[in-house]
Amino acid sequence: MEYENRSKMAKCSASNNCVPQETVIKDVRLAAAYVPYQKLCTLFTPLEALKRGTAFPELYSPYDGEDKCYKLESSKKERTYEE
Amino acid sequence: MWTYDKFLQYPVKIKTPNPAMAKIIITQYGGPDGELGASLRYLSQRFSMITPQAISTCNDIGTEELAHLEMVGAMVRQLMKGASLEEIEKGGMAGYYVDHGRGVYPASAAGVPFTAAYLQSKGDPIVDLTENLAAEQKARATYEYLINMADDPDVLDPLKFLREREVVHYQRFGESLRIVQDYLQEPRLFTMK
Amino acid sequence: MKSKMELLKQIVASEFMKQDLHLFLNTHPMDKEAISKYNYFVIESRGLREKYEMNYGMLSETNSLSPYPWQWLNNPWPWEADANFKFDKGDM
Repeated sequence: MEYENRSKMAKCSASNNCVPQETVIKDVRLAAAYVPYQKLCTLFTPLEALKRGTAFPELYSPYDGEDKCYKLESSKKERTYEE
Repeated sequence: MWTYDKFLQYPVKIKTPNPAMAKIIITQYGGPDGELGASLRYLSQRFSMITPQAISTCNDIGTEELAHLEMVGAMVRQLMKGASLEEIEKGGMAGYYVDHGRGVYPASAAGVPFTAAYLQSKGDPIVDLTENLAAEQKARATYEYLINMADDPDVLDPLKFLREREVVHYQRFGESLRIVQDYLQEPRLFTMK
Repeated sequence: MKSKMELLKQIVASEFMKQDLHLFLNTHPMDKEAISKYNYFVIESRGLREKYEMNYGMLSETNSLSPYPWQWLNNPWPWEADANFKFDKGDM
């Protein structure tokens, strides 16, 4: 539920073709973790950035909370366990 | 070394006391995935970290976490200050109150005092950066749970800010891990101790 | 002359841009544009802080001039609600 709430952010600024991250990682090795590098494209204005918690639009990931009254689907069914 | 700037990184201006909220927010002050643990973790790991990029990242994110610790402490204080004893009782904070009054003390939401057992500094750069990625996710999730429980916009705004910072920190530690991994793959003429 | 809280809001915002760019630069040391943006905010925040300090009080533990008597210890401290600004609807 929390995972689904995180929206995808716009990748490109309107004015140019800047992609704010690497999209392909070459020569990856086993048993190693890879987070793509970010690349600088545009910045929020200072007050925008402060309100959102980051200067970078590509890292902005808003979360609005779980609806307090919403019951998760699975709680309505009887639990069964597979052998 | 550190200097102090006399303003919070993000404003905390809570009009209405709420001990019940203080009870859970305090977990980001002294709890397992809170800002005290985060700052101590990164500021300890930096001594044995390798590559200038990863060292500076541990140093500077560790420093930023102290600023976040201050924000969380401010939230707890503003939520307790001016609360009536009845509100404190109703909010489940009677136990905290008898030990700490309306003050701020590093403990988890369950009342467990802070311990260094919440952090690891293994002295191995890959281990430490991987630990840090996990720590940032845990902190992010904790802020999400706190956001779920909060109603007051004065409380929600700083919580959302702090949550977003964890996302950014994850990206920085991820990039640091890439840099360290690449560095360790190169043929080197000396061994790292 | 901007009000105390308006100026403080701009300082906090400028400092924040500086901080986020600073972390970015730690893992992107060769990014020329990021460095130029960082330096811009260093200069901007310096100017804003000077303006604030001339009229409203000391901000830095180590770098602010003090009038007489010693002002650093004045209330409110940053964790008090009164020391903090609110965002307006029009803030962008």
